[in-house]
Amino acid sequence: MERILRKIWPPTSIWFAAFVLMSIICVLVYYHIWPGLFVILALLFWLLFFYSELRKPAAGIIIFTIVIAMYFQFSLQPIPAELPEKTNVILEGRVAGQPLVNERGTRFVLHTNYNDIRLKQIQVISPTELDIQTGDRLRIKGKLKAPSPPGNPGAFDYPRYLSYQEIYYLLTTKEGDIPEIIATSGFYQQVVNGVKYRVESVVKSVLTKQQAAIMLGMLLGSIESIDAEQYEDFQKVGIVHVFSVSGLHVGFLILLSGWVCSLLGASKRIKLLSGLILLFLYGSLIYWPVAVTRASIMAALGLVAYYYGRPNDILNSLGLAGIIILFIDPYALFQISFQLSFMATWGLIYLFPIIRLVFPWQNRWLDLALLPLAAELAVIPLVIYHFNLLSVISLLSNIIITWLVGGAVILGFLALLTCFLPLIATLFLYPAGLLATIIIKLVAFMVALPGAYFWVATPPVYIVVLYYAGLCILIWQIRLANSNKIVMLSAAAIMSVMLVVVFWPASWQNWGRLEVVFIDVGQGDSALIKTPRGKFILLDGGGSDFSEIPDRTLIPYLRHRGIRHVDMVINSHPDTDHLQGIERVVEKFSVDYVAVPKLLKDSERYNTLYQLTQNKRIQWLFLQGGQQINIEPGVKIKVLYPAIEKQTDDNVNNLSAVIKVDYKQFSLLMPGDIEQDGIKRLIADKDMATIVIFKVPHHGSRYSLVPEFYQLIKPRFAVISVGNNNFGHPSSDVITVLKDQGTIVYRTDLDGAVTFISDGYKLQVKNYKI
Amino acid sequence: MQNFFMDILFPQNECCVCREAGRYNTRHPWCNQCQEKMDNLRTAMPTCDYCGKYLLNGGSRCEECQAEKPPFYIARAVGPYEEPYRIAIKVLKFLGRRQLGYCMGIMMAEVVREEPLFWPINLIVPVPSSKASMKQRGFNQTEVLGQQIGKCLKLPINAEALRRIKETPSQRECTREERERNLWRAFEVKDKSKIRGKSILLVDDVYTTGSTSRECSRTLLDAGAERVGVIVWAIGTGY
Repeated sequence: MERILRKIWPPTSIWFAAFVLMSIICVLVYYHIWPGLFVILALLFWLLFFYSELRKPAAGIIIFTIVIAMYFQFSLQPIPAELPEKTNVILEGRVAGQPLVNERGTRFVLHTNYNDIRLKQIQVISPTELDIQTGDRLRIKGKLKAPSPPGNPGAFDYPRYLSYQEIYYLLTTKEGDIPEIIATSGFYQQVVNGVKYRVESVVKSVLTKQQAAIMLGMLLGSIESIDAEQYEDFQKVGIVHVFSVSGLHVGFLILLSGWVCSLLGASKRIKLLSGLILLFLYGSLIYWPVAVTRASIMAALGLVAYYYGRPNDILNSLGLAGIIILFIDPYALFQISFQLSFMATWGLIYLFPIIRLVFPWQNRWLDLALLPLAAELAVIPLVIYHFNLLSVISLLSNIIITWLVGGAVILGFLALLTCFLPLIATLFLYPAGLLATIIIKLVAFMVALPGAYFWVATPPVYIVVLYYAGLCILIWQIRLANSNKIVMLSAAAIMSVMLVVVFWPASWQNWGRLEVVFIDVGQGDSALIKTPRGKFILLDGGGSDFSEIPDRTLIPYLRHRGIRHVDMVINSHPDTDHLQGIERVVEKFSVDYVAVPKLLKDSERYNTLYQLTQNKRIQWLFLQGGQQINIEPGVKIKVLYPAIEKQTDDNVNNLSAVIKVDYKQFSLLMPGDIEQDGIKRLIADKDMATIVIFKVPHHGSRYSLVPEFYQLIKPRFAVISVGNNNFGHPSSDVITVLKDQGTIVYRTDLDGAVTFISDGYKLQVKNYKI
Repeated sequence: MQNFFMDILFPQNECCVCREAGRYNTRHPWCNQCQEKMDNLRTAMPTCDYCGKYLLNGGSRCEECQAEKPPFYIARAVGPYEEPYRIAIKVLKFLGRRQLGYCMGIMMAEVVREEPLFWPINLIVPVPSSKASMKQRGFNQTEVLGQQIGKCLKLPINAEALRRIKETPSQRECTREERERNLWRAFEVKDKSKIRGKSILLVDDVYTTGSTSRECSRTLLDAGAERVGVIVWAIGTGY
């Protein structure tokens, strides 16, 4: 028994093993999977019994992990159930982390000292640009509100994200309200803030805006000034990690301090101390993001090991770093940056030497190519799961760009150290800016390469777990002297299951059934139709004049489902809350047909859409009453309104295209934002039959209520696509009228995305928020 | 205490001599095979009665000791300056694995304890290292060994008694004559009162030609020490 165990897990890297164990226990405790916890503990005692090697240290580790699990259990506060909205609340507290200030306002986290768990940490959102510094004590007035949970599958879960930081409330202040600063930050914090401000101003004054944004991102990890599109390009190329300052930077700092110390002829002790101090200073300068904390702990352990002449096993220090971070903040485990940082490092230091074993010959060039491969193998499922992105080019881009980034970071650090001597700093910054430009150009070039990256569907969690299980089996087999080909192949097969799942065409899901999804796009309309044979039709896309709502709702939903191609987009009328999403989809997805109402086709609001379709092979359709589009056998799209000859109204809403979709017994009516006049004209023109699913016009507005119309069509289900608004949508009258005649009403603001799946006779309804 | 925590914080995953994977710690720094090799080498050859050198041709005195009696009255080593011993001292010196001093010190103390000729001993004095290597390594390996020996034998140690006053080049590639010339008047006793009339145990890491030990012993005797015995980790072979 022991011999087998020894082969599977040689008694090394005890801290890494403890870290893995602790993470598993944390997850099991967090999700209350008590049987799992029991199995793990039983397994541990079993190991202890059979594995004499393990007996002494393992006993300590078991006790240790149990203590941690208990600690974790006690440090976890249950998420408060009741989070009522409160207005005119006055809070006092200290600004934690770096306040994000841009033209849209200020966002920061406020640490209060209240006993109420719900008020301990507050995310503050102010529409004004505030002049506050990290560490200031503030008195602030505003409205307390719980963050709204995601409305669509695949959307970013903001409340959960905040709850991992133990934040449960958002505080929104009024425009122009300036919080009262009770006390400024302490001396040390002021020095740090001053240095940071100095560095930023020097970099911004010397470099162009674009260069400065990239440089500051790489140096200090501050990404708020990077253009969103450009950031996405970096993601697509797979090098966004250059902004999560970590190993490279910390390693360079240590090298620099060691070099300077040797130059000055300092002793070992001075080297150790200066290294530690430099790490601490740099960490506080950028407010200890997880990746930097990890790298700093690992570097500090390395320094101590060097000083005391101890063997430094990097895998062990990775485990120790993880344990320390989890001790400080157990929720860190659920943060994307924590997962990515640790998995990538694990790939580099553990996977890389093993992958090297596969190749019979070894040389430096091969290593250069294998390093990004190792990191990629370790993080691929996480990137796919969180970002729906599979970057193929990252294997290449990381080889080239890492060197450039290294150069830019070194120059940037020299500038950082000399930031109080602007002339010398400029000397370093110019070449750094040049490198930044080269990086930007290279990224732009690589993004444009065909097949550089793929948008893929979100895999289920168990598929991700399966991938890692396959990876572990593969590693184990490679390490064995006489590896079993069949086991290795099946492990590879298990891993590739994930690729199959994420590349499984979206159009094959629910084959043979019609699907209609009313996507929660806040205040706005958006519905996705999937025909039984897998064609996607998007009716309106939501939008807002104040924020890029489709980027947070519609686009993530389509990405989540793995949709890359939309056959037809239809816009009912050119209002922002219907059109913006359409524009984004045409911009980012491949689209065959764009349909707009014929009467409104010359509206100047369509200019952006015309421009976007110019260089693409997109066919325009102009809708008018009486048309019928045969999408595929059995599925018909009828345009009921407006008839072209009756253009008398200049109200855009009343000229909305009214569309009916028929499939066997199933029917769907999408009347856009049509109002009373339009509805009256519509029922005067057409004989309306009964309808199965009906989208309530104009987000449930009172001015679109024509009770006779509802009696005519007698919908089984009605959906109100509505969000936070000041127009009084949806009107209670509308809901009453509908409910009185037996219609089941869904609202996207309360129900989230509403999905109808039908084979033409039976109907299945799902609402995302229950 | 420090070693205990360091073992927990930085577990040693391979034998420090042959790099065989396994679980090791301060008390058990090398694998059993290496330990066995060391034990076998210890008694493989006869040694010189005076300087403890391993004699390839047998006998009881080495050529040098026959020619001239060394200044110290006895020198002993744990083993010959060969494979496991040589690597162990190199790992301690050049990789800076200070914790090896624990085991090595115990083994050296054991040799001292078992040799009645050493006794009585009043004071342990390690051979001082040069300033350059002190700065580079951050510690003096003979001091580390000496401290452990002192702990085992319950003897006081004075690391400052001897001082190097001449920076000597590395002795490794020098001939015997060059070494002796380099080391001539290289040491000095700082405070003679602490040495006077005492029976001293000099601790060194390696004894190849014996130049360092001889010079240090001479300096100590000049300063008034009653007698000097030498304990080293590894010793060379000769005729």
